[in-house]
Amino acid sequence: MSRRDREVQRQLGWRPLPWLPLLGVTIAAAVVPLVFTDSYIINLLILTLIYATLNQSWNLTIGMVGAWNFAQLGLFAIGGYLAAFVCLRWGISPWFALVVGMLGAAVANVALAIPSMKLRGIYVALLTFSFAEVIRLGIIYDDSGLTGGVFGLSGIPGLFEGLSPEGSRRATYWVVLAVCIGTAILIHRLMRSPFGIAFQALRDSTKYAVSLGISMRTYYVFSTTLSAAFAGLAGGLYAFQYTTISPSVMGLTPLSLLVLMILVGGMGTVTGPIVGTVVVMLLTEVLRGTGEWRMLLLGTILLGILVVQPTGVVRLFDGLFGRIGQWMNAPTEQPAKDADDRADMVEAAPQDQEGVSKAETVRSPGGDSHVG
Amino acid sequence: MAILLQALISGLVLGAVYAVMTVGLTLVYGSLRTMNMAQGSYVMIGGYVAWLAFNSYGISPWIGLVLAAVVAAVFGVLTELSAVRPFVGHKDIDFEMTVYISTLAVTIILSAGALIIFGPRSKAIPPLIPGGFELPGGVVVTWQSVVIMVIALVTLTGLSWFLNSTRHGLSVRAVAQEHDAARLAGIRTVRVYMLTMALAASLAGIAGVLLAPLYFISPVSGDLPLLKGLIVAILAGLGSLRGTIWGALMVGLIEAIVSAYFGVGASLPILFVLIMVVMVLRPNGLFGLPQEERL
Repeated sequence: MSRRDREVQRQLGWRPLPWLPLLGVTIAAAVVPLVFTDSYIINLLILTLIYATLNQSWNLTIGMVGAWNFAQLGLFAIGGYLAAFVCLRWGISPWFALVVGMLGAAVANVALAIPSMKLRGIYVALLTFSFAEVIRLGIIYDDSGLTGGVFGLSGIPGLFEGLSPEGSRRATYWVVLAVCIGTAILIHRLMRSPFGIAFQALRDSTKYAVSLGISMRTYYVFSTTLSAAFAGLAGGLYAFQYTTISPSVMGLTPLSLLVLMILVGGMGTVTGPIVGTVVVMLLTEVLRGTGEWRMLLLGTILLGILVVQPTGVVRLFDGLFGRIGQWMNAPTEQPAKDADDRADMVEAAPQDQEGVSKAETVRSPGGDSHVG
Repeated sequence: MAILLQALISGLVLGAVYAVMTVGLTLVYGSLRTMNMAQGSYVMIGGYVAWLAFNSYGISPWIGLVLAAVVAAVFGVLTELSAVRPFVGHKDIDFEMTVYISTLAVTIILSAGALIIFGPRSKAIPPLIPGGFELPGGVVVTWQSVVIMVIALVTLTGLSWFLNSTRHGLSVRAVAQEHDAARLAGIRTVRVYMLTMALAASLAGIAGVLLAPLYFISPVSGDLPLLKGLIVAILAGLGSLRGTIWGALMVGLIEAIVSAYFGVGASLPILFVLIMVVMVLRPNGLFGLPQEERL
């Protein structure tokens, strides 16, 4: 990498990947099922990894491109239901069914994206939210037996039918871990490619990017379709892990959990969603004993986080180091002499005819609030 | 033929309730330029207030209507204070979207609170006037439907009077039209926000009491009204009040007719396909005005 490349990357705000810690975390994660044999923990981790994949896919649209797409859980469910359906009805192998689920979710998303392309932000949010709700209610009220209605589909075979329950669980864990890490790597590579730079340009300064020829429509469709494919994959994995899938995976409660995960982790970074997912899953485990109060507490926490730090909790820590540094390196107090000098300088500044001192700062008009 | 007539009537009734409910959404969007996703919760709260008043104190649902409006307005103010006010003027964030999510959080909190206080079982209240009458052709019209239509009409007319003829109503419109000019004219916009949200919430509360005899009251009874409200908002566009009312009537009619001929489960997907088509053809909604983008 040439020096010029490094300079450009620094200006873009790209920091080099901390390889060693990441490798360490990956190895530690991979070793977990060999060390902890408690099935509850492994299942919880599998769920966490599935949600982490889902959140990463959601981050692709909401964080990286800046498109307010709330259909994610609907696509998750489509992927899961489709994979379950083809597996149950037509006996297709679970692995192939996963791919079918991915494709199905991607296709559904294209249908959704076409009207969304031309819409302003808030309408996209409403439309995609309605999409997810319509799917959920459509399944709940479905009497035809295709989707199993409120009870969903069950009896779905697992991914590793031939192995012992423990072996199957471990194997599923490793598969889900691989998917999660693979997604992260893919997204990371994507964001460092010309595609990714175009995404960020669209997010940070839409009009300018469009004026440079970056079409919001194409990139929106592309990013949402990719995001939908991963959401569908996560859904399929969910279906095979739990051997059932029902409309309860959608709705305001899971959506609020997802939003919390993304907010806590911060949008727009690759590791953000993963960190957020882990933290919030821990939180839900801690709150497990509170019963009915759980959702109330979660909702309050969500609101609290938004009010205190709308840009994400991880960003809070991001700035923390900088602020500590500033505090430690603050300049020592100026002696009074300098203050007098400065006052004299202002007095001596030439006045223009209206008596307004030229030393007065000029306010910048309006102000583009996109900090990116 | 009778089926169609019956469907038309129930469609009008539904449309009227949706109109009362959704006009609040449009008001809030006009003034604050953001969606209040908690609107459905106020419908639920209105229902619960009327139920509580009737069940525990024997208060007639007519008075319950007024109580519901007041209590819902209080919750509207609380929502504004907790989920909207902290973000007004905040530079680093996308106001629209942050308030969208924060009001979603409020919905969750209110639903969870209702679950804790009232339990998960559905509640019911009796219709405001029981019974009905029969039209020639075998079409049954319940008195409740008539009551709903009348109350909806009265409410919307009252709203129109308020917005056009009172000082505070005019200030709401002023803020919606041109926020900065309103401030220059001396209108305290933040107070107007609170007023707008309280008004919108009380409308939803009224709708909640009207809907309660038809759909039961439960902690999740706000979800469907919210979805319907969103559908109306998308269909009609968020620009004009009159458009919202027409949109609500359209949605009510379509829902009733589709339900009558294809079953209840079909109305939502069909409505959704409809709005997707409308979105492709008219991205601002049927009656929406192309909004100038806030730079």
